[in-house]
Amino acid sequence: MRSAFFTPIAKPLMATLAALLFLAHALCPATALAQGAQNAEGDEYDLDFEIPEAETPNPFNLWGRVEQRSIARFLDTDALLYKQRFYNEPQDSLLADFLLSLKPEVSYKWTEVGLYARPRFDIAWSEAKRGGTAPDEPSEEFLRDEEHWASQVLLEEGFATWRPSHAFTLEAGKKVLNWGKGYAWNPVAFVSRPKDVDDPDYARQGYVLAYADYIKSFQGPLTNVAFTPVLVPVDEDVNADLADDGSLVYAGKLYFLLMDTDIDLLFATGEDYDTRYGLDFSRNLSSNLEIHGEAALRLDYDKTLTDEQGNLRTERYDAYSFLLGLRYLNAYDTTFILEYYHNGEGYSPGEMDDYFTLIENGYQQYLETGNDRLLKRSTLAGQDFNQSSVGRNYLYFRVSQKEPFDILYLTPTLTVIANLGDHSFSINPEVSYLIRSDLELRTRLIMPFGPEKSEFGEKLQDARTEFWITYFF
Amino acid sequence: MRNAHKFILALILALGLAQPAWSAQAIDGDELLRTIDRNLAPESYESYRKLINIEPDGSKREYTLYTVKKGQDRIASVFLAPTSDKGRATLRLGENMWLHIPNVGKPVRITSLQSVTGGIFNNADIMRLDFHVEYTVEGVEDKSESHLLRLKAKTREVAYDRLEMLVDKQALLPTEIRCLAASGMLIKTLYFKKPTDFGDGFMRPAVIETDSPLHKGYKSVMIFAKVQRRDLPDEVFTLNYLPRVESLRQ
Repeated sequence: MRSAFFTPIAKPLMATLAALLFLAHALCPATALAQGAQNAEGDEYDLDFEIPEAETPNPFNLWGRVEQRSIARFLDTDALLYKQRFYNEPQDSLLADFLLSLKPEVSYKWTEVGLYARPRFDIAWSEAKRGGTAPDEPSEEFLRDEEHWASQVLLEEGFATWRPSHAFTLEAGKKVLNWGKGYAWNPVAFVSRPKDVDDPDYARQGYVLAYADYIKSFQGPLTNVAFTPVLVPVDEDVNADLADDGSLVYAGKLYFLLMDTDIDLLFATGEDYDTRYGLDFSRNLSSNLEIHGEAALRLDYDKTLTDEQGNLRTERYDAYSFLLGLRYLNAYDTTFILEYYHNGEGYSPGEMDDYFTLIENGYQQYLETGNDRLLKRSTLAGQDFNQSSVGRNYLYFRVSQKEPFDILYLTPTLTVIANLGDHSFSINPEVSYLIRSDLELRTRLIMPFGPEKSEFGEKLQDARTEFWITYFF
Repeated sequence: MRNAHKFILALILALGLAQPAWSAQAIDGDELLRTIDRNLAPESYESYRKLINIEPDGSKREYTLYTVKKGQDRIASVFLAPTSDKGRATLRLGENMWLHIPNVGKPVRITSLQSVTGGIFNNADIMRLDFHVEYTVEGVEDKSESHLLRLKAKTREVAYDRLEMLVDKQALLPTEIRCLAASGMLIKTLYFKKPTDFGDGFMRPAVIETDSPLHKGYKSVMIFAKVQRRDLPDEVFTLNYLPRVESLRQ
């Protein structure tokens, strides 16, 4: 049942926000000028020479951020994923979501021991009926019986550190291990949750694990070596999406800085867990050009496939994935990132076509008979096929301009993500502006394009606009 | 005799004209540059810095960094303020530079021409190595109370192809540095101000101010505090240690 109170408010509000989306760029310089009129001090300025942070550090620290995110989804009612999800519950073409997140960070340091925690408190309202999120432990969900409201508390990171020397560290708790050199994808990030390719910089929650870190420095072409062994337990509620219940995953990373090149050798193995090996590298080719790459091999990978009738089967093979990327900065402070990603675990255009045909057949069957059996089978397959970046070959291109027109702290960005197999793509323009040192505005638009039965062509939404306000404390 | 007078006159003129250049040549430019480096900071040290970006309208944005440096080419910094940047850490090993953003991703390689703070200071200014590591002295000129050092970058990887450094003869510290591109274009000028005693008789300018013809009306200022000698193990200057640099504060 729709919310009678919020729907009439949400629609015009979202429409207003959508209109404001692309005006943000123009508003930002206007804001700067307005500040200038109030603060103009001529050529002279006063400097505060005090640096309070230089005093003896406080062992206890508390800081963090509050994020408010407003989202407008312009649904594509002809898309197969729309038909799959809303076949018996038609939606208006514009849906709104609001999300408020509080993310405090707290740390405590006492001689060789340190504690750190980053919990997250979310409360969200969504015009569409919400599905369960079932976050890993420790977490707690609230408002479970509400159709449009959702709330949860979870721990994104929380760990204890023991550092007996500068060369050795031991950490245990929930932690994000950022392995890999790629910006949009990291096929070698064996013990991390996948990035959101639409927002690779967004903080993720970690896995519960324990790891050690030993560093050794040398003189000569081999400058640094570091070894990081990791233990990751898996049970019903902890790290459940990583491996089967009861597994213990062993992983490790051996890092070298060799002849000005970062090189990592990585592995992960365990009971009921596909063994994986990886390699990555990164190097500056010049003062404004960087090259990076990753390669990963997953042994005995079981890929779930479906035919047009929803019969699921698995195919076992060794999946080889790799990524190659460049980062280039030109004289105008424009940064270009280009990455090619081959996803060895991904689906070919033909396999995706079978899946989309299953939805198409299921929807047709539902229209003709009222029987939704095939659509429900497609939903089961969708647990794999509806994930992000499920294709085989991708190209990622991102261009961001730092402080255009001398407007400090303004960064417009344009991102294009293309599935090379089915010729579909997504264009994401974005503008962020640090309006004050503790207040950031960010707005973006995500527009998928593509032919029928292609990844981006069948997305649920024609477009999605987002407006973020982040306050740092 | 007339020829002898001419010869003596020519000799006097030649010696007279040649003297300033000869005097300057008597100074070992590279040695002078090393002295300037040591006068600016101990080879291994820790410090706190405040970076202030000032916009044409007078509005300001401030950042506070804690920095450690070891030897000629190892430097690491972490942002202590504002909270939007807290925990961001940078590492430089020679020409290799990385930026670590907490909660977001792994350390990414950055370049000397980028700026982690915005404003006129770029990464090469914020993570500056000793001048003599990156530059050779092409010439030293006598400018009354100052030396003018003309410096040329040793490699193309260095942020500025040439520097013109005005050095106070008494203190042997820079008072002004003009940073030039290979084309000769002025990129920015650094002004060294407010000589301050940081203890143990160590005195250096506490303020570096910069402006740029490429960003008219904008200024950036760097203020130093608690610059003090500190020896740290090499392992601190590694990618794995980068997220923990703040733990070095005492």
